[in-house]
Amino acid sequence: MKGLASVLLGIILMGVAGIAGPLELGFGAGPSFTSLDSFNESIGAFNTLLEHLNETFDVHPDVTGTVAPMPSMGTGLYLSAAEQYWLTDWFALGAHVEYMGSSSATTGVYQGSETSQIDLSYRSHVVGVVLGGDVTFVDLGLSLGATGGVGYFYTILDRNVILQIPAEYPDVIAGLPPEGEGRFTGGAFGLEAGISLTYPILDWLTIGTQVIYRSAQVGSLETSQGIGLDLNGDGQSESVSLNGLAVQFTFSINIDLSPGGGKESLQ
Amino acid sequence: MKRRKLVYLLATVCLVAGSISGCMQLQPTNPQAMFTASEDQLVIPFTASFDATLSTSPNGEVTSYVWNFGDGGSDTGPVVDHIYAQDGDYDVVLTIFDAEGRTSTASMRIQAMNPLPIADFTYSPKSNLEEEIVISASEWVTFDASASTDDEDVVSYHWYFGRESDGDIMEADGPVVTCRFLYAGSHSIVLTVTDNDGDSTSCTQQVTVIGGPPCYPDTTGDYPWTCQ
Repeated sequence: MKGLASVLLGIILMGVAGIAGPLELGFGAGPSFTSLDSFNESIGAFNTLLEHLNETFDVHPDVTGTVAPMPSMGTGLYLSAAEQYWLTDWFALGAHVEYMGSSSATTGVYQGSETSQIDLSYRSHVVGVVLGGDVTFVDLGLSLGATGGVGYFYTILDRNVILQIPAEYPDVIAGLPPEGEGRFTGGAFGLEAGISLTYPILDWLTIGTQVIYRSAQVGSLETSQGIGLDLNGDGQSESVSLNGLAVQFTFSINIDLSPGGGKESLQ
Repeated sequence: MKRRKLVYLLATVCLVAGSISGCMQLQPTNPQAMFTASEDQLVIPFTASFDATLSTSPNGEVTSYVWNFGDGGSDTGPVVDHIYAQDGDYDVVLTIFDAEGRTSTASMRIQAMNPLPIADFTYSPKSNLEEEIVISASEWVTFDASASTDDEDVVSYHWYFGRESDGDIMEADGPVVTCRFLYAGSHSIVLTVTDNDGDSTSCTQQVTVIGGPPCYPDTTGDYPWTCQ
């Protein structure tokens, strides 16, 4: 991840090296809230099943054990590294690389005549490369601006499902989600837009906060063998929504590439 | 300058609007059909209970449950019972519908098994000798399988009496056969009955034969006898 960000930033820096003007390198971190709808729907189905199994074996004379439900996915860490070039004192173009990680897991056993293992784990990584711009609307020392761009979002899902139903379970279950372990990847273009508040604490350093809304839908995730992600066992590949918010706290380093002065001359 | 700024502002607004509209255009995803069955393999007739309350939908509640039991029967509702009266393999298919009209199916194969026939037979004559049921060597004995039953029809009766002195298997077919044993000893008589579905069941009885040695020595180690 860091390598990818470094490479991208290097390319962009080299691209603007010949342009005299203020350059801003920014870094941010904060929580992200991503839909990951199909993952969460699968988690919901697992939790319904686990609740049913827990209730069944809670009163079963020959089986003990409880398995905790899986938490929802979507909330996770957001990291970004950005570079932008201020064309005017209120408008900039640039790019940023962002990362969002989220996971959910549960594990446990039901102990009957044999040990039945339950091990459910979803871990997602989304890497986005976004090209866009910033507009500063209000600059009273504390600056209010908007940001937006178009990006490509590459998504990785590591899925591990071990679902052993104890032999003592009195019924037969149909429609169980498929078991197995695998890595599924896919990507899609999407849009990002948001607002930002920044405050220059030094000539070369700006801190701020930013709220970004992202809209992207990955049509399908596949293994390296081309097997589609089928979370519910219906034979159809699942899409996943990357829609969501990211709130990040940022700091930016302002590098004056112009011969005449620093960023303060542009604000 | 202000005009250009306005253009950029509009571009930003468009991006925001595009993002939000992209969100709104998301397709709702399918529900997850899941159900339990009380039985998936049993001898007919039997009642299987199906419970689809494990089904979930991200689009709200599951509004409709449609069952196809694979034998021509169908039903609706989250919890249903169905009687399987005919043997066969049946695919039970549950289709659920949610508030968005999205559907999902789950299926299970039910094996409704034919009840096996019951093999049983009697034989006569026989005697009670010192509280042991015996028959005499060289005596013609009638074996009667009419006590065998099935839910429908027993269509064949096959008897196995062992081997003759020359090693050939001694067998007979029919509900009633006669046989005589030339050697004293304990003999295993196996009756196999087959019903109209092709399922078979066997039963074995030990027959104790008393009497003197045969006229011809048994050089093979088997028991020679004659059947009709």
